[in-house]
Amino acid sequence: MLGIGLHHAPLAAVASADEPGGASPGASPRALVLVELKGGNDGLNTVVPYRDARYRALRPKLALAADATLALDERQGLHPALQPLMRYWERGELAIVNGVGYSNPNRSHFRSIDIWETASNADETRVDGWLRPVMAALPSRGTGIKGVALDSDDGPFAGSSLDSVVMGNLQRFVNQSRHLARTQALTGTGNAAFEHLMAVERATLDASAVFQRSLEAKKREHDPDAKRPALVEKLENVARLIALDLGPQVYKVTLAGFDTHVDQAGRHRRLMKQLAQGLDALAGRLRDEGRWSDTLVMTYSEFGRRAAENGSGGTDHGTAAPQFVMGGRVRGGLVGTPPDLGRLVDHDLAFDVDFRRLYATAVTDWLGVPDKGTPLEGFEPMPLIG
Amino acid sequence: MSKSTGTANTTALQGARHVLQRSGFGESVSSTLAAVDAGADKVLSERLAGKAPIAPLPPPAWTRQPLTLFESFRDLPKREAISARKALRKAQRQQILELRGWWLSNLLVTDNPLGARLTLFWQNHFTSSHRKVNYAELMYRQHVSLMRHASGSFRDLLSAMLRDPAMLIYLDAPRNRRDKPNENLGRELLELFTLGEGGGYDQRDVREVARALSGIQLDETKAYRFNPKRHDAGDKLILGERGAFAVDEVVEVLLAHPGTAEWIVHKLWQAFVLPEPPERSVRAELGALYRASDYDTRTLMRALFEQPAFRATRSHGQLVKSPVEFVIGTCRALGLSQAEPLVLVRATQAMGMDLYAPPTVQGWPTGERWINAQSLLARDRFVANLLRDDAVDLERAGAGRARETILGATLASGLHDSVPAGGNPLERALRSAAWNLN
Repeated sequence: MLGIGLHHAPLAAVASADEPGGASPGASPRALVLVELKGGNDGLNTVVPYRDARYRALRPKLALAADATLALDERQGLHPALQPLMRYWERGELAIVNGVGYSNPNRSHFRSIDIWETASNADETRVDGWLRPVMAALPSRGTGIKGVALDSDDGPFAGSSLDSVVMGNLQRFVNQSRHLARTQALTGTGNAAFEHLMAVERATLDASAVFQRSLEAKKREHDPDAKRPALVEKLENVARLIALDLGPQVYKVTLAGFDTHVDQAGRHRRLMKQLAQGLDALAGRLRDEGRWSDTLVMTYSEFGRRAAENGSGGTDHGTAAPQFVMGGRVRGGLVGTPPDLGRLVDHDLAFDVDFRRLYATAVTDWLGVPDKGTPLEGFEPMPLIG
Repeated sequence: MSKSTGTANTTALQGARHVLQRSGFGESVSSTLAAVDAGADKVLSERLAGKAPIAPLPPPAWTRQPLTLFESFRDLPKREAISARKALRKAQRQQILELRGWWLSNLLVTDNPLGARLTLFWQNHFTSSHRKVNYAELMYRQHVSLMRHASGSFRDLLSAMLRDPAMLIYLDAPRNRRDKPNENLGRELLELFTLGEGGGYDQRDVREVARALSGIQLDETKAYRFNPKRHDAGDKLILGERGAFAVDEVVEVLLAHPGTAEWIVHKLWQAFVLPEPPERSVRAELGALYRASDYDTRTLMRALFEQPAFRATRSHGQLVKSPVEFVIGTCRALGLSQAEPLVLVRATQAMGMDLYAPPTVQGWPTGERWINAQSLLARDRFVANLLRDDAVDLERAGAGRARETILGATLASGLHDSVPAGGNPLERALRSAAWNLN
């Protein structure tokens, strides 16, 4: 996430019989879509222990009514605003991993999202995003752009500016990049900032050529309609890009606003609704394009929130929380131990699954990239892919 | 080197350019040549002395009027209340836009560019956002407070911020009560404003600081008020110090810890000297100097500008200009002292910097993170549009100067060759990638 300086990515790994990208030769490449819930999502009100009396004791104001939650099993249910996800739950395409976190949890936004995006331990600092070695290993297809952050920051892509692109709006992007003057290449400047500029410029020009084609395709079916939530727009663009197969295999989008210290109820509900609508839109479009079984979606968030509500109708920074994993080939269901409200650690939920196991699942089981030498080495993937 | 052909000694030119960019926003080619004559040291001295007002232009009229509060509509019949709130939100959006335009217009003409740069630095340190604060008047008052203390005492600055209504609203201070604690301000005070993350505090310190800060409220005019009934008056243990601390004592405990000075040194270093943080010994030395000066920011800035790392040619062009530095710097390079405020505002927004509304409490992500596909295009678009403006006289801006002089006055050495040859050299320089660097 800090991404200081440009580290030249090694050449893409030589394709083996099990080609990185997770597909047998000739088949469509697999895509990974990361959805960041920025600010620290309140897991306890997302996947709710709706029968647990301690839940209501800890949250007199914020606890969701048992009959309002969408029951997943006899212990846990979903926030009602996540209704659009139930169809995927019923089809077995949604896995919910309980208690995702790490040991010695850090409750600082800055530090904890850094940990999540670099897959580091709580006591170490890494510069590169956890996707960097993945980007390096994925085969170069089309433009050679392998990752897209449909947002303003690179997050887990940090350090791979040669292979990934960050941008907010496709059409504007394409129009403006036509005018970029091409800088004369310089070597050996010893200036990391300049090299970063050069790398971004090159990637911009290359991506633009590609996205021009995707827009031409889009124009034919675009229906100008009422304003839709931002996440829905972004994930629809992701679906379009996946379907057009222009090269990128890893996508990241952000839904912000989860830092609900004050008056959480309404805001969290709206965020849950937008999340569900976004994921539903993504899945729907991918199914139509026949790419849903090639796609894996994973949420992440820098931390959950405290088990007890605070004095302002909200919750303060916490630790572990559930995360969603969705896709056409996912083995749906509840995974991991539900949070034990009787065994809080320093007022917070204990973690059960190290987040790096989720990443390892995405990287090795899904994308077929070996984890040796990466920060994910040694973390056992979870049996989420069917 | 001959003056009549418009060239100048490269080293001196680069030295002047470097100092003008780092202690301000850069200047026109003529002004840079004048700075060569004066000498880099003299320029720095003058800027450090910085007595001129940072923001000389009169602020918008609404800054002098009493606040209209959203709460004042509480007793109206429902329909009127709804439309009154809607009207106030609209007015607020207009006001904050005017405030952004006002600040940027000031930066074009300020005779205290270092004071302005420091104000921008503190705005990204003591963050707050209009999106949560809701009142442009309060953002203005915080801004004035930051300007007042920008080069002066950090103690005064910190104390002022802990009483600043915009800051207090942004970090939920009025919600922090003895019986219902809210840790937001306490946490960010330690993590962002003083010791910095990993700077030697732990979760317990956060809780204790939050206790000490309890009881802060805003009165019915949104002014600071202390309510002893909501204050936790018991003993607190903060960073190894024990006492019945409240706001002022917390400030002293934090300033007594060497981590605070070092954190500020670290941040100023990365903003003004090099993107890589200072070596531990340098950081400790400068931290000690800052504390010995009783936290006089001007003294620290002088020391930073005297660092060999700052003076070395190697440091030239290593810092990425923020959107504000880029926009203002481009205008000043072209000799523009006036521009349509809304154009400046929209440009900085498109580049990712919406003044008075940083994305999170950590502020805007700086350095290389300013540059991605999106922002790069926005910067290029801004320069292209500006060069087409009637008010810009490219010929005059670079008149009579050799290409080498123009490039030397605008771009860091070592990067000149990245600019394609041909055409107007000033235009080429301003549209080059290297122009993004300080």
